[in-house]
Amino acid sequence: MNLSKKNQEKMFKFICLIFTSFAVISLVVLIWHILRDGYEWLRPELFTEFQSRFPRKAGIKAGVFGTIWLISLTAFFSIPLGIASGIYLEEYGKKGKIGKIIEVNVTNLAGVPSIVYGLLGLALFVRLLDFGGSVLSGALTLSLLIMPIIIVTTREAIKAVPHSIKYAAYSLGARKYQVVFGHVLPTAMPGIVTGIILALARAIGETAPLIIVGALAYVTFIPESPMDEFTVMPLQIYNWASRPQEDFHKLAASSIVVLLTITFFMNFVAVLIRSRGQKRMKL
Amino acid sequence: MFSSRSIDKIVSSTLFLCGLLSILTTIGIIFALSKESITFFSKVPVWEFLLGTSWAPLLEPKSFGVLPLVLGTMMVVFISSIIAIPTGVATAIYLSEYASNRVKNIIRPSLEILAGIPTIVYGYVALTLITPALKILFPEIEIFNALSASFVVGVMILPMISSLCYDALRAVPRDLREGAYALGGNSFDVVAKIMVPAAASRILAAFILAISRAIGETMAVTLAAGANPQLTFSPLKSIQTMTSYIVQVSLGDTPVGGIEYLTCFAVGSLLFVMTLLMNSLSQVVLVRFQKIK
Amino acid sequence: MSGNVVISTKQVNMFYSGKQAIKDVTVNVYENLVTAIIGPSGCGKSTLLRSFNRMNDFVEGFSVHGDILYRGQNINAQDVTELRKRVGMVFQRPNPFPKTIYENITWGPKIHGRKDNLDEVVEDSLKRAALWDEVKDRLHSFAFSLSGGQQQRLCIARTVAMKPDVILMDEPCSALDPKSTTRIEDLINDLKKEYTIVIVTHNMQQAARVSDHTAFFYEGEMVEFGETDSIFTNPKKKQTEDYITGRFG
Repeated sequence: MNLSKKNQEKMFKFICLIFTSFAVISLVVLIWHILRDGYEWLRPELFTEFQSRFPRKAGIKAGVFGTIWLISLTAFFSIPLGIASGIYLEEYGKKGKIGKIIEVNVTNLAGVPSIVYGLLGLALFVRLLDFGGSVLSGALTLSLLIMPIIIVTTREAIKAVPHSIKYAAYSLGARKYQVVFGHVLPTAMPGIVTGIILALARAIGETAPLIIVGALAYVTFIPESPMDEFTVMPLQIYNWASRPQEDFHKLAASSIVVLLTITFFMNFVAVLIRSRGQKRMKL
Repeated sequence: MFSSRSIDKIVSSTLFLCGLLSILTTIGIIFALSKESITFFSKVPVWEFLLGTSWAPLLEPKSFGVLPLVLGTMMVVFISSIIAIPTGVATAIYLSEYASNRVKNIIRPSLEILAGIPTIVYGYVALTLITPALKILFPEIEIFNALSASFVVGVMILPMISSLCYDALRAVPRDLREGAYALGGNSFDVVAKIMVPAAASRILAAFILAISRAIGETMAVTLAAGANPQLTFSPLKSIQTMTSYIVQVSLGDTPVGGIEYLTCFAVGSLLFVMTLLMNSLSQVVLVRFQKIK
Repeated sequence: MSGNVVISTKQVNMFYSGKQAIKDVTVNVYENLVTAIIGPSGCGKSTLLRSFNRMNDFVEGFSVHGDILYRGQNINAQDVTELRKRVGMVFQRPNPFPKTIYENITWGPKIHGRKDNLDEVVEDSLKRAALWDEVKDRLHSFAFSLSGGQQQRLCIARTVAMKPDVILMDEPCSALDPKSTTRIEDLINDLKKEYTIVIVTHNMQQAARVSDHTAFFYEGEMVEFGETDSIFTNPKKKQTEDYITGRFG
């Protein structure tokens, strides 16, 4: 076939457009499918009931509370440690050899499958430290999992802070920690917060590592301490989706609506903070 | 009361210790995986594990050939790449070369949202939407099958490929692009003959990273691809991947130290090594090709 | 030339990753006078200035050979934060902190342990920087709401708030309009009663207007140093004459 130059260009553009629309179509179909399956079962009982053998009596109460417990603890561990590591890498360890090693190491950790973190959590927190299949084990595992994300975004946010601000502070006789905590960190905060929210949104959707560390799918209580056993929303969804009954699938779909609402909301907030931060930088 | 000088020292050492935590994590992963794997390989020879063609650690007679799991994983990787790589590259080209700001404002958030959707959701969609749809095309398809899982894994890795390729195309120097247009090339010439080759190393690195991501994908394949480790090349059949095997064992009641428990770590080690190799390879590709330029 | 020497260098050489930027420079900065460093761009004038309070420590590959003394003491033998407290700096572009006007001034005194009478410090510093009347009603608004010239005077006020001994100014007017430039030049004249000032400028008229001493640099070497009047009216070296009459630069 001998296409004219002009047609060849048009054709190419058209083919690219078709491929590009695939993402949007997938998203629309996915959301439409889940809403269609799940809307019927979005009712108050979904939030007030525990697990049950009968779909009509089953709800995600245990999962919602489990997720809240898990994410709070994960945030508690991962945020300070992740920010501190990010500051170290960007402001202190850049020139040194150890800094370089840590940097490569963080990049590699970011690519380790989440299920491998689950195995680490199983060996280290569940067995060795004997925390069992508790919220604590799950939170520590997820903390290690999302730390690379927090570290990388912290570094990027710090990198965007103008040098002139640092020099001004140094010329006033400030120590490094005073420059970093007085100016660099506050200026980088919007970027860091954005990264943290995205990391936590990812943690909320994690399932596999929690299964490995022994989170249960069938839980009829709310955890009262970090040492209690627990379930999370994604795990309940998995449990229901893997059953053959149609009603359980619908229950899963309505829980997915809840889960997606939360993650979309977090993503939305993150984007909002990011764009605001960018505006402030420009002033 | 501390002097500001000693506070400075304390702060920098504290931050250093936090930085070391990531090294400890890596050491922890390697240690945890190898400790249990060594026990496993004292009971099952390495060659039997790597070359055996039957995987049945939970049934009698037990057999420990990991190849069916590897093949299952590879099938998912292969099919999802076939879907995501051309789509991702074409999306990146369209966004960087043709799209108006209005179109960009639709496509890019869509990709970001797709990237943020939990994997369990993709699993649900594969099971309840893709498989029934595929059944119309292939009536012989099994309820749990590799194809539908691979399809959603493809959608999952698409945002990663398109955004990395987009960055790669954007990083091509402007004068190169404008020079090509100035010579009278049309957009197809410029993109296909100048831009994509110039960005090739970063695009290739993006593919490798995406493949690594697909290897480690767990919940979608656990839910949709089944739990049937077999040496098959048919994507319409039920299979099992390395990741979904680990989940299957973890959901059951397996005694600590038992052979089933140990297999998780052996399979996990293989998974870890494979993804580590892919990630390192992508970094090598980046560095290597940048040097050539 | 007489008076107390505040900063002096003795045959210093400076390098950026092996490339020489300053060659064998010996110069004295005298108390309560304004010393101007002039010369074409790339002559090393900023490099020299920034080495007086060790801001070049942040440049990778930078090295100094030879002694730089502040009040008779080698600056490398002193605690660098103490040095910078005594030897403040105003930069080429205004670089206020992304905080309020008030916080910009108080940040320095605060980190050095000063907690009371901060209002006084703010008022006093802003008055010295001739900015008080313009901002006294909006001390708690964002520093970026000020004009470029006001921002630069805020940066001067921020430096003054530290009660330094020396103020280094690195082309402080190069990013400003003529009107703001005049204000800052007037300010320098007032400030020298209490502070020793070293100013780098590529604007010869400015050097002539504000300084008592002038050092002329060319390709890393100090060609001539003397009282400003004599440098501009009766230069001893041909290069200096060529530069100030505008034959190059």
